[in-house]
Amino acid sequence: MTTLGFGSLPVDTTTTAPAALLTPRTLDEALRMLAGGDAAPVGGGVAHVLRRHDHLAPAAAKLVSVAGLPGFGDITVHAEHVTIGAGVRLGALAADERLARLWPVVTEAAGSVATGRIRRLVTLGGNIAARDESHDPPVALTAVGAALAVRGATGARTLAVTEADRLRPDELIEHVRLPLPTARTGSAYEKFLVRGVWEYACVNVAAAVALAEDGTVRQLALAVGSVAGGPVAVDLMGLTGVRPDRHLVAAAADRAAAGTTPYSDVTGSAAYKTRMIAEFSRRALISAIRRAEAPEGEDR
Amino acid sequence: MTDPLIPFSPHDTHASEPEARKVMSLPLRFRLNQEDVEIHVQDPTVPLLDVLRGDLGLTGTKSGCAIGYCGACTVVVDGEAVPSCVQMAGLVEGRDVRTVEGLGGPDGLDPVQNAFVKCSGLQCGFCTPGHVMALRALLDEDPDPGEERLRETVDGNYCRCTGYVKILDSAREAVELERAARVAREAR
Repeated sequence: MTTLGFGSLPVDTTTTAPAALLTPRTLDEALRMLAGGDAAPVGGGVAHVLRRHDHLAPAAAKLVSVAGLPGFGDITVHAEHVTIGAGVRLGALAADERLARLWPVVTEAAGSVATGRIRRLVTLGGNIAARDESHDPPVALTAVGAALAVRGATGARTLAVTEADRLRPDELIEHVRLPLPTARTGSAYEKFLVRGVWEYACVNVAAAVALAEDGTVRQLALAVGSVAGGPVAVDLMGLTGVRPDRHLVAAAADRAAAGTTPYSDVTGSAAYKTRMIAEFSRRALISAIRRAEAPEGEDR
Repeated sequence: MTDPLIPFSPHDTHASEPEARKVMSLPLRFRLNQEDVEIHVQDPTVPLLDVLRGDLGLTGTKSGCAIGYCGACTVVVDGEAVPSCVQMAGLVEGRDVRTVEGLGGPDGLDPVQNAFVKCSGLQCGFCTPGHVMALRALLDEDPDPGEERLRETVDGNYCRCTGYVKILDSAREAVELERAARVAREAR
């Protein structure tokens, strides 16, 4: 949530010791460190520096640097899915041309975070694990049906992006797995900033549309951020099988507005945000449909 | 021997202050303006900005917003312009850091600095080191950036005095001066 808070009072440094920074060389080593208790992973480190800036105690006594672990910085296109390493910087994610062709919603969301220089530091895993409902990449990843490949000392499991709150302190996001889009799929991201710069979104919406051969909607997804419990995957049950016209767009946008609970803050009142969720859902859906309808090989 | 698992505790009364610092603090080694430096920090989450200004006395890098947005504190880490106020110092271990103090040329100033002087691309000057370092990183990566990339780079630094016109003039001039400097180097 975006507030106009001035931070809490300075931490009593007589009781709060600074954290130690550990740099494991392998994933197993990292997981052992996290399993030892009172440890937290560090990606790009931005959130940890800002905690200190806000006079908050360190996230844990031991900070485990994970962005440089083998494979964590890779984006790999497989035969049936794409994996994005948790250590991939948002700047690199936004600039990936293969992903921009497959799922532009993801590269657009990554490229809309903060500023270019902050995007050079922030990792995808850190951005997701921070569980801030305003963060952009989780909204886009929710719309495309991505999964989090999570690993702990006792084993691996898969979580939906919306289940990131179930991450245990001894677990680490290893990579994010995205399905490959089918033919005639389009996706788009819309982020509404009240002032235009230097702030969190008022609302952020991701849309993905897959068309059948006859041009009707085969699959439809909308995800909304900056709302309670966000990102929220909007329930669009019953809206497929029809032509992607303005009636469908309006019906889906209405569902997005009705199915989400925004909160009032410095970027707008809850009532205003509900109207903006409808408006930006329309815009995201229209862009996604246009891309889905574009001939193969054109900008999707 | 330093054990990074044991953080420095201000409560530690068993050792004298310098002894406690030596034993309990975290050693940090990195390349700074083409020299190896080794210092000790008590907290790895301290921003690189504070280490540069406070521990190393390099006050050319300015602290503006301190939350990563204004660009005044921009330094170059491994060739990339980053806001040093949100760059965790512990994570620069073993990396290459350049600050405005590390810039220079045959006539004392870097071509980017000369461009700002020539075009009067500043008023109060507080944001200038950040502009200079961001443009330096851009020109190192792409000696002939187009107008769009120049604007994108300048956009990362807030200036509250100018209207950006002369800063953009300076950025364009920097490209020209950099080209001339390269030609001069090749002729030698």
